[in-house]
Amino acid sequence: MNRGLRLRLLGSLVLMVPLIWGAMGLSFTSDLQRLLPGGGELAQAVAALERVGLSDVVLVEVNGAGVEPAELDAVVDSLAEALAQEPFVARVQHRVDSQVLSLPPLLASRAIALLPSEVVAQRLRPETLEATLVRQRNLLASPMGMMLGDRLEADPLGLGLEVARRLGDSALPFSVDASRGRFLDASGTRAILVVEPSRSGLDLGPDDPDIARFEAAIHRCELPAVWFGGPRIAVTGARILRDGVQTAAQWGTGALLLLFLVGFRSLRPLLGGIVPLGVAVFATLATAAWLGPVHGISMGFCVALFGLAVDYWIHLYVAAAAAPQGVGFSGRLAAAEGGARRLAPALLLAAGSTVGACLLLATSEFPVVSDLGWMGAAASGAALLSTLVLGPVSFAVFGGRNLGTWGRARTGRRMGGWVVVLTALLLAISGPLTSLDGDPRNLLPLPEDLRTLEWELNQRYGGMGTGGLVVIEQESVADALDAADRVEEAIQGLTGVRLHGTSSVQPGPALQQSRTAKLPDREVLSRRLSAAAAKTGFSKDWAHNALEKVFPSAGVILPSDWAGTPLQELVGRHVQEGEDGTGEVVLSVVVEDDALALEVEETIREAVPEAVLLFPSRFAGAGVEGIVAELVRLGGWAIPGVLLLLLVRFGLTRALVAAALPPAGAIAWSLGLHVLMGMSWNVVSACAMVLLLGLGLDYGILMAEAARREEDDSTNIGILMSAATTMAGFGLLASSESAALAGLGFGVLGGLVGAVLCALWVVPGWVQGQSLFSPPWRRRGALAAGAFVVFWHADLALRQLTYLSPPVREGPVPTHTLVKHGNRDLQFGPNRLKYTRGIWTMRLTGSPYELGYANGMLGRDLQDSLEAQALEAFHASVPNPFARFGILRGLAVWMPRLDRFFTPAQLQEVAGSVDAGRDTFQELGPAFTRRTYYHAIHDLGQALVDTPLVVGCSGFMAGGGATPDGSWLLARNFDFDGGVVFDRDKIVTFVVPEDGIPFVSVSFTGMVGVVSGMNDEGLAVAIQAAGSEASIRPGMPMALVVREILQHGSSLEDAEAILRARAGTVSENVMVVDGDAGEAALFEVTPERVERLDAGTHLGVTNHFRTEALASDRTNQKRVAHYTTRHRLARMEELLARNLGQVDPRVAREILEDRKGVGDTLLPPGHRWALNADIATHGVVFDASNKRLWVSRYPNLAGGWVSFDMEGALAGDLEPTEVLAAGDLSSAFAVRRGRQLLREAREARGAAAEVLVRRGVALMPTHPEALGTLAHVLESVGKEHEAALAAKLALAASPEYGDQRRGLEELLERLR
Amino acid sequence: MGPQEIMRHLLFFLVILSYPASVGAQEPADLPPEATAMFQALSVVESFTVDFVLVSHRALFTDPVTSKGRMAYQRPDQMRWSLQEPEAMDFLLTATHVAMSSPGFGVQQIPLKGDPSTYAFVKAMTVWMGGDLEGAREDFAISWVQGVQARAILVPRTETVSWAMERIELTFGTQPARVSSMILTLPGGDTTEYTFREYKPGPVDSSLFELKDVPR
Repeated sequence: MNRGLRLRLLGSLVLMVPLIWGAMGLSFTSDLQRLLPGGGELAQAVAALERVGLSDVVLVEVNGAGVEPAELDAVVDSLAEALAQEPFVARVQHRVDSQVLSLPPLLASRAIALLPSEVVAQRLRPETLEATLVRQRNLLASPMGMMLGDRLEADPLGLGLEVARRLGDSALPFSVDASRGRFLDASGTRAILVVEPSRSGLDLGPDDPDIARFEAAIHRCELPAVWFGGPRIAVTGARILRDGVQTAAQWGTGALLLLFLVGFRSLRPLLGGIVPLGVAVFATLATAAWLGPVHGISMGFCVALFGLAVDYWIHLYVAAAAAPQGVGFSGRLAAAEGGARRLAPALLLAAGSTVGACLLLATSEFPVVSDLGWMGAAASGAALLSTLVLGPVSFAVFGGRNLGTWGRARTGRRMGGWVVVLTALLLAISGPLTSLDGDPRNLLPLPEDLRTLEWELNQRYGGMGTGGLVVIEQESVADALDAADRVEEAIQGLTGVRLHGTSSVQPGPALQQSRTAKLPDREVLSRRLSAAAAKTGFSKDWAHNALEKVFPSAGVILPSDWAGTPLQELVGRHVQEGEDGTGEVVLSVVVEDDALALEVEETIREAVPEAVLLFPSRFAGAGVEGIVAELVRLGGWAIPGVLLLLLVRFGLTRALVAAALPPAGAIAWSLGLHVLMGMSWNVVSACAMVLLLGLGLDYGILMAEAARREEDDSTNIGILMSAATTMAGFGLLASSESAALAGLGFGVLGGLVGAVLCALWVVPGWVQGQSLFSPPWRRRGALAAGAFVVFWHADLALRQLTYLSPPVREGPVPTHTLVKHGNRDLQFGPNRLKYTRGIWTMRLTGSPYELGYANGMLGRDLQDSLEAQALEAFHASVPNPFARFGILRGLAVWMPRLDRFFTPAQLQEVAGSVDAGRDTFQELGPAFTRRTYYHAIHDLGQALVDTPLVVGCSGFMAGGGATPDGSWLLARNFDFDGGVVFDRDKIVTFVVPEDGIPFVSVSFTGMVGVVSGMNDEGLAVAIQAAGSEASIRPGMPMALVVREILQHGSSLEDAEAILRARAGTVSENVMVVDGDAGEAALFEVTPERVERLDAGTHLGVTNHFRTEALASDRTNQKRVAHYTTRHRLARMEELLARNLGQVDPRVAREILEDRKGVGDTLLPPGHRWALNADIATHGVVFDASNKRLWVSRYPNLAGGWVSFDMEGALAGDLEPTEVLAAGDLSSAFAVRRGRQLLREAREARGAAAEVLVRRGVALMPTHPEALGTLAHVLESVGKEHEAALAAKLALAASPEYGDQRRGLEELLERLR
Repeated sequence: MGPQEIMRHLLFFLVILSYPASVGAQEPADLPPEATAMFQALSVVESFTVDFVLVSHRALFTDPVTSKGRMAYQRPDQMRWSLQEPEAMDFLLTATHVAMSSPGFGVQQIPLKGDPSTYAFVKAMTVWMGGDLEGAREDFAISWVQGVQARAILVPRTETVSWAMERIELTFGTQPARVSSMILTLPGGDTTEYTFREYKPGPVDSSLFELKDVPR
């Protein structure tokens, strides 16, 4: 052994000591913030989340089904006591405690500032005072009076108690029934304990001893108990990551062994690789320790890196083994050193590219990605150095001549063309279909059973994962509190939203002062108290005491005033004062439905623009933005860097392009395979892009170098083996339960396949100037390309044929300025769009073009949202892209030149709307063409009527003797299952046209047509789909016909004349009420005829025809027999008959809201035989005689109603004249969520489908659709006995459609 | 002073010294047999119901206020007070909790742990209802007044209880043995007088003592 060699070995040993020592300090974390960008408002908000501890709250649920309530209570008390002893637990809340009674004395003297003014005013009215005193007296004189005396004396008017109650309602971010003293679910059989941990749960390790003790305490509970919350997610995620890493390490080692044995048929390369690999391993671990604590995801990456680190040794081994060798140690050493010298330039270049890629990752703003970058650079750099320095010695000791299985096999060059074609195809599909998942929560692995538990707890108690946080930072605490009050005030107008914060105990100074200022004069109050005391038997002293208690003793209450009280901790958690005097308030918002999140966000932004919002949707949105920004930034450095590297090495030669092919192929394959597997990229897996660039370049450079020297055969072997070992490492990650590790593993694995294919089959041929295809295939390729070009141009021609030209504008473009009174109150000249009292309202006036222009200008945001959701619904209904293409083109062919059926005024209006609006959905066609065709959407829906997409509607007309005062009403539910936006963002539009009669329409923004409307002359019109054998044919869309009736008709005769002149597209029931004349009629319209049916005093209408001429129509009869229309009509007629003479607007609304079946039979919520099937996008009652209307508010018919006076609204007053409060929203939301889950279950397969359908059934337990879907899913997973049972239950629950019934019967037949 | 005189003085001194000790030692040994017998008779009753009339004399009121209702007791420590007049209210007392349902407060539950005054009140109620002489002696000095209707006067001996009440005066009835009235005096001088009628020993529906049955 020569001196240089000894020095190398000694130097290496000296280097290993600090590496091993450094690796000993390795530490881990599961902190969510490691997965987020280092700065920005998202990180700030997450820090706030951690600080307020809401992410750490743990729910422990005890299931007391089947035991006596007293036993459940006892078990809960015992468990609470046990948990309270655990070091992990700071506090356990499990029942209504004495705070409610002990707090009032504390709160009483501050109640005026803490309670809403209207509550205080109500409590201080003379009659209320007397009632309060009577109750206080009775309580004082009761057996408990002795105990309560001091408390009642301190809170003589019960104001402190009122504050305490409100505090109790808002302090616990869960919906529980506390009437029995414990926190119970709605059934009363499950109790929850709310545990506040003593430390943050975000960084809990997999084997945290405190968690182990905590879990053991729960397991000792005498009744079944489960727990969930941030800490459980963190611990479970950490455990899964650890297990995954361990498994990957074990299997990875095995896979390497196997690959070497199979590939080389020898242990020599493996033994020889231990030294360079060992150096790389310790260098990586030492780097991780230096960065530490590192996230578990980063450690998973480590395992894969080891597969990468062995690459360079393999290249050296193959080169040395293939070279001529001398005898013995020195001969093998000489061969290896020769190989190392030959390979060094290429290896340095290749490794340099990988290290460079990793260093680029190290600059990422995402800590987890940055860690990966540093570790990757350390692994690659150390592997290269140790291979070049120690590799020859290792080969001299262990090496041989055996190249094993691969021998000197050549790869076929003719495959190259197909590799290129396949790569191009994968790249083509990846372009439009690649998706990004930016939600960092999805990176944390969570088993399905925990996801189900999380979901179930959310359903039972709400409050977890269904809302978000609002962080408000201002110059002072007082300002922050004032801003928080503005948020609360804004939120109050939204249904289905709850705010948890400090407002009950800590309103801002402005609100406090405003409340105090509204207090009655002291003298007045003194007189009232004295009078009330005298009447109720209290002494004068009491009256004096009460007066002193009512008037606040101090000025404005600040958080510091709660020091030393039980409220200090609660207030302190939400309100923070910085050292520089700045103030921060954190509020939590819980929404009943995810669809409300955007609305909540807009509302809060409007109230406090600088508020930072932490909503799950923002997690995803900000995450995607972050990923895209990272990719753009990294790509911006990496791609020019790569090209420069290649240019330096190869100059402007074919080899330059050849070396770039494997990295390009790697990225194309990775993208394409992700699309084919239905996987989304995330922030961690996106790193694969940069890694692939480096790895692909490795192969490209090595192969291009070898091909230039025409020595590519042994390089083939090196690349194959090194790719195999890298793929083994990353492939094992692909099977991880962690989306992050799996994404990264799959990303690299798929990309490496492409890189290897390109390197082996494309690069050599390309460098050597050979053709990639044989002559016959070149001809076939040319033919295919030609066919594609022909198809492309044919499609272009078809699009050109169906392109609609906007009309020549009549009149100037309106030049008003768009004035924003707020995000949801816009004014454009005399036109206005306003969201008020839970509903959008709009007033438009002017010429047709001006009407459209104002509509587009005011409603562009709503239009975008509507169009996006409509598109989403379209994609969901027709998932096949080819089918969607066929429908879109087919519609244009079926209804060519739809604009010819529009009146010139209608075209002007559409054109105005297009000119003013945005055009963000060009994929569906040019804006004017698209918007014109949208007006036929109702008619297109006709083809689908009475299917789950479009249910059909229920309505009635009543007047004369049917109503108490003879007024004429038209009431209807517009049932359309096209997406939540059609319900949430419906608009009540009041139109004052330049030509014609002013009218109101309840519909969606951008719609010129009308489906429910009433004009200023008392004519109300509504359309409901029907069906007949008459073929649907092109014509004026029905909604535009109704618009024409409203704008130009003032009697039934006018309506009939317009219908006869215009109708001809689809079959429709058209209800028309003339309030002034006091008459109403139903017009049954088909493409071939119009039949009139006078309403008499009342007439119910659903979705079939009843006149003699049309009743016997076969399509009509089929609808009657198999669909839901007859059930709804029967119920409608029953309710009308029952209320004859009493059908006022209130009764009309109740009829529309009716959920029962004929004979008052109970139907499950959402059953489509009911008039209210929880599907209406709007319900409306028109009082045509008095020109008033009531419109339902989101969701469906459950959000209450608002009424408008036509005269005032047409004049510009868009405020509702009456608001009828929402009832119970939970049922409507449950049905909505249930239906969504059933849809997802029908699209899913296997166990995933079963999980989804069972969740759906939990929300709709007696609904035939839910039970039927359950039956089908259970059958598909082989649970035949349960499937049969579910099918029988579904049949017993009255299937809504004939098809459903038949499907269930056939299922039972199959299982028999 | 001769030895006899010295002895006499010494004896006198010892007598004087031993007097307080004998007073202190009067409990329980010095309660008359009638008292012990009464408590013994009460202690064997498992459950009963009784109507009550309660008159509250408080400084806060211009006039005394009267309440009426029915009380149920179940050994060892459950009581339900149901007020019928002037307003329906319910109170449930157990060894660990007090639950109340009143129009003013709604339904509330107060754990006794950590609430000494409520605990003292509940214990005071429980000991005499159940005839728990030993339990009573832990917190009260008891004196017995024999008469046509025997009376027991309970004066708190611990600060925890004296903070909540000044004294309890119980009047007993016989045939069967029972408490026929009670006067509770609070530290400020307010008093509450209970009169019990229609005493009915015997089983009580156990569902009465479940919290869920406390009406809203």
